[in-house]
Amino acid sequence: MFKLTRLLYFPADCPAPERQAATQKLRDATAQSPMVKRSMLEPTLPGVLNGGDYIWHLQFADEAAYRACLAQPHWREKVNPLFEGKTLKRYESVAYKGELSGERPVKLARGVYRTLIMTLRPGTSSQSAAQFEKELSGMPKYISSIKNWGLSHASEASGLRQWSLVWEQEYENLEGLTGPYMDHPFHWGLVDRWFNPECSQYIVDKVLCHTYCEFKSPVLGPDA
Amino acid sequence: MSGETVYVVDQITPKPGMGRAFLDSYMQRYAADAKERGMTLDHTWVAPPVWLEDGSNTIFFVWSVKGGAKGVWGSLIGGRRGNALDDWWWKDAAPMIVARERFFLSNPSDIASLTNV
Repeated sequence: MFKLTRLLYFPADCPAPERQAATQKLRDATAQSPMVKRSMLEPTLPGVLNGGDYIWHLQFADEAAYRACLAQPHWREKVNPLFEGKTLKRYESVAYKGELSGERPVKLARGVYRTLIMTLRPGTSSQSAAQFEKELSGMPKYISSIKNWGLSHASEASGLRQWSLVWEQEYENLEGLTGPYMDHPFHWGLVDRWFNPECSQYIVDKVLCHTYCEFKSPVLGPDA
Repeated sequence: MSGETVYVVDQITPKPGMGRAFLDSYMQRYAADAKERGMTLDHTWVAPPVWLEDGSNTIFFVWSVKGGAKGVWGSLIGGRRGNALDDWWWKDAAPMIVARERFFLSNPSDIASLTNV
């Protein structure tokens, strides 16, 4: 599986019809692209950090399908101008092969999708990065509200940073993220040390994208 | 679920001969801010109990935060984002330190409620 996630930031004064038209263009282009296996374009929920106004997420069978999608004439004519013009204030983009992942035996037809897009500070050792990823991907073992998850390395990125890591999760509802995920001591007592400048483990750049939205069909988990 | 006390221990090994200077800096630059955020400094311990001139002391700062996870996020993590404090850790204090580690701890009897989230 190969994935593309873009966070869309509209100008604050962008009228609703313009936003609607832009997102409809993306939906139409996606619908006309047989190489897209799964897609989601949803407004973010309150509380995101650098999360954008919308999360646009596409999945392909592999990187070749992703490349083929981007090369389609209608993609170049309809989609690319949206990201090159002034419709959007800016966007964050990350393309990545789905790597480590896990599922619980629960099929979510709807729920909350969250992604944390980040990069590591310059000079981070490979040992520290590996230990961080081990602990991060260990969260679902202890935090049962994480229903499906994926941890992947970016192969293409643009925006505020050259993003390197994507940590995705699915929850039954927002409370699963704001409650158990945030409050579990595995999070604040262990994993957060990699994010906390007060801790010697601190390796994650403070500029990151913490964003989430409701989904209406499975993103990470099996088909419901 | 929210009444537990979480302990935060900073174990710092300053460079040889710099134990007292680091302690002063920590108390002035870090501890004052941390207390304003709601953390309580319960203990400050120095090992061995003599300021070493040619070797490294190890200093332990034992903090407590009430309110379980909410207390940790509210006073310790959520309120920490100031660049000045980060600069102190990574620019001002770093040259004085050989090694440091922060631990988050609880009483064993609180683990069940802390993890029941």
